This record gives sequence, C-alpha cells and structure tokens, in this order.
Amino acid sequence: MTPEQLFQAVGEIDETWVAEAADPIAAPVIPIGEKRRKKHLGRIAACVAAAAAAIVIALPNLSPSVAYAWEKVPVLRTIVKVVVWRDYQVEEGRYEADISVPQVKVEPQDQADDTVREQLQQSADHINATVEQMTDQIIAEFEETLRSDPHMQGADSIHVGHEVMTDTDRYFSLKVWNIEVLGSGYEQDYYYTIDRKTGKEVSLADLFADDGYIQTISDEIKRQMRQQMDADENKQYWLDDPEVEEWNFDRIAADQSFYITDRGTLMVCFNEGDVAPTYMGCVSFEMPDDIWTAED
Amino acid sequence: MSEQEILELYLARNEEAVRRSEEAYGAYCHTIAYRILRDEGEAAECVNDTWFQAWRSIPPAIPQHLGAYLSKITRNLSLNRYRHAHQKKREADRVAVCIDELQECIASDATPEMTYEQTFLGQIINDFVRDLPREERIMFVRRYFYMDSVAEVAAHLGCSESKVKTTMFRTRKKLQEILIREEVYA
Repeated sequence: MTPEQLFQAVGEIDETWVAEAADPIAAPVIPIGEKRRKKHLGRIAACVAAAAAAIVIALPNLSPSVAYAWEKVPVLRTIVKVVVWRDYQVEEGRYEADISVPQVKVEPQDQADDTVREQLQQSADHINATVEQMTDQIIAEFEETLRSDPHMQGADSIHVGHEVMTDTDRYFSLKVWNIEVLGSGYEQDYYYTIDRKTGKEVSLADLFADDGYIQTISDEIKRQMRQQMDADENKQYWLDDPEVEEWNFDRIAADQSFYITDRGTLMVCFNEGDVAPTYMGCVSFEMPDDIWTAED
Repeated sequence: MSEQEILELYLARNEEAVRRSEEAYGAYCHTIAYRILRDEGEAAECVNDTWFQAWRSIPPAIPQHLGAYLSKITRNLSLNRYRHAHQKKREADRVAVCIDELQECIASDATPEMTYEQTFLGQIINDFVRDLPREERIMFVRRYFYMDSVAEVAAHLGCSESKVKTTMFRTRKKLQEILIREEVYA
C-alpha cells in the first residue's frame, strides 16, 4: 500500500462523515501554490496560554509526620500563570518547526506568605530554566539539520507545546510535549508539578514517606499492564517477554514522570517506547487511592 | 432549493437538477477541486464533470447527503486529473502535504508492490473514521478529505493549531495501529 492509496481511500468514507465536517468549507478560494517561508526566531509572544490559577493550600496524605508538619502551613493564595514567552516557527521546504516555549510566572498577592511565595518563584525559575534548556537544544538541533541540507532534500517536522494538566487548589501540573514527526513519529512528554502549599516543585519521591513507593507503584503498573493486555489483544507492553528481556519493564525510576489529576489521582507516565512498542504512544497508569491520593 | 428537492429532481430525471446543483454546490465543489489542482480552468472542468457523473449515477444511487456525495465525486475526479498531471513531479501543495502525513501510517518496509483491494482499504478507513470521537473525526475529515490547512481546521473548530497538530499526530498513530491489526501492511 502507498500513502496515495491511503489518501484515495479517505475519499471513500461515508457521506455522513463528509457532510458532518462540511460546513462551512473555507472560502473564498485562496491560491496556495507558493511555498511559504516564514521565520520568527525568538519572538516573544507573551500571550497568556493557560488559565491563571489561584493557589490554595491543602494537605498531602503521605506519612503522618510529614502530613502533620504541613498542617501548620497557613493557607495562602498566589497566582500562577503559564505564558508563551517564545514562539519559534520555521517552514522551509518540507522542514517545519512549531515550538511554543512556555514559562511559569508567579504573580505576587498581598495575602500570600512571603516564604512560600519565594519558594514558588524558585520552583517556577527552575522549571523555566529546564524547559528553556530543553527547547534551546531542540531548536539548535533543528537548525543544524537545516544547515546540513542546503538543498532541502530531506524533511522534518518538530512540534513543542504545553498543557496545564492540573489546576487545583493543591497542585499545579504542567505538561510540555515534544513531537518529532519523522518516519513514524516520536513523542516525549515532560511533567512539572508544583505543590502550592509549600511552593516547592514536587518529585514522585516527595509524595511518599520512603522508597517503598518504587516497588508498590511498579507492582501496580505490572498488574495494569497484564490486565490491559488480557482485555485487548491490540495492547502490548514489554513485560515478561523472553524475546525482549532487556526491554521488559522491571520497575519505575525513582524520579519517574507523573502528574496529579484535578481529581487528586496520581498518574505515572512513560514516554513513547519506554515500556511498550512505539505504536502505543506515551502511556500513563492511574494509581488507585490506596497507593496515593491527594487530600483536601 | 433544499438538498432533498434537488435530489428529487435527479430521481425524476429532470435536467433542472444539474442547474440547481451548480447553484447550490458549485462554489463548494470548486473549492475542493481547486485545492487539489490549483488551476481555475481545470477545477471548473472537474466541477462540470461532477454534474455529469452525478446525472449518470443518480439513480440508481440515492445519496443520503447530496452535497457530500457531490464533493466525493469532485474529489475523486480532481485526484485523477492531478495524478495524470503529476506523474513524475510532486509539488509542495495540499495533496502532497496530506500524502506525506499519511506516509506515517505506512510501515517503513512497505513497498509499492504490496497492493490491496482499494475497497477493502476504504472500508477500513470508513470504520476508523466512524469510531473516532466527533471532534477528532471532523479534524481528520477536514484535513484529509477537504485538505484544509491546519490553520483552517483550527479555525473551523475554534481551537488552537497546536491542538489540531497534536490530535492529528495521535489520530495517525491510531490509524497506523489499525492498519497493522488489519494486516494492511507488513
């Protein structure tokens, strides 16, 4: 099969779906023949990309001692925004980059606790520096690829964007995704979570009292992997597979990616190809409440 | 005149059907043809051919959605004309861009010799589109049937271009998975 055959097959879809998507078709007709070329390097868009969030503090449900200590932190409110501070776009031949670099901004509020606000700013600065370093590297590699192909014989398409995954009174989670469409494509997701009570950026280990979480979460993930594969023959994880022993999932990393949902559920995340064939994409596993849940 | 009334003209073999079709769907079909051919004259010819083919096929065909039926005819006629004109040369136009994106759904070791019943493939694509969530389905159809640009899809649905790109990336991944499952490619 060729992509042309696939494209032709799209023309055979039921009229219901053609009609559903029909109105309004773009008009008037605009000539599209010219190759576009645009480049806005380093443009600071500074447009608000995600909702401002009032930060209200709540309690973790970790070890009793940690929870007790956090109970004494006074309630405070601080505003966190995610803005796009750099919008890098290139279209040259069949090369395309659309890289939106987010920045976490903390806006001081009178009623916020100074110590927590300072800590929050430090966390935001660290996240921003990490994201900037990552996107700078992606941009540098993309530009190097362009330089090495002056006749534009190749093709590449890179997209970086972000999404606020959690915006609750307790936690703020930001996801930055990077998709490189080359061949079958490859996606990597990066998660950053701030505890609004302490102002600190939270790692997975911070959510638990000791290292036991690594085994507990790993066992739960294996259980879910088996359950999913039993229920759906199209799902495949690298687990107990003698043919790919070196790839088989054993245990999570101590600093495994995660985010916390608006419902206070812990989601443990893996990038494409980490624990499953790449067609499965990025995968995540929802942890039951008896392993971890956010408390009000 | 409503879609149903025009359809009834076709079914009654009333030649007024063609004139009414042109009034109601002429610009619509012309846009589709022009997106593929990028030539006003050729697009106009394809649209004229559309009425002729519709006149020949209705009845026995009784389309549920006349506009969609006509647009499919226009798309196929335009693609045939496009293929004829671009046998050796591919340009960076909408068709080429869509085909490039769909390349992601094809196994890297697939060869042109691996041909399959086009109708079988069409059924797979139709089932795939049917099972998509509504918004994702509209994105897919706008992008690969109507050949909207990403910006146009985003404008159509009132969402960001990034969302369209990300959604389409994941949709193509899903399609790749379906094609593997159906053993459409090795």
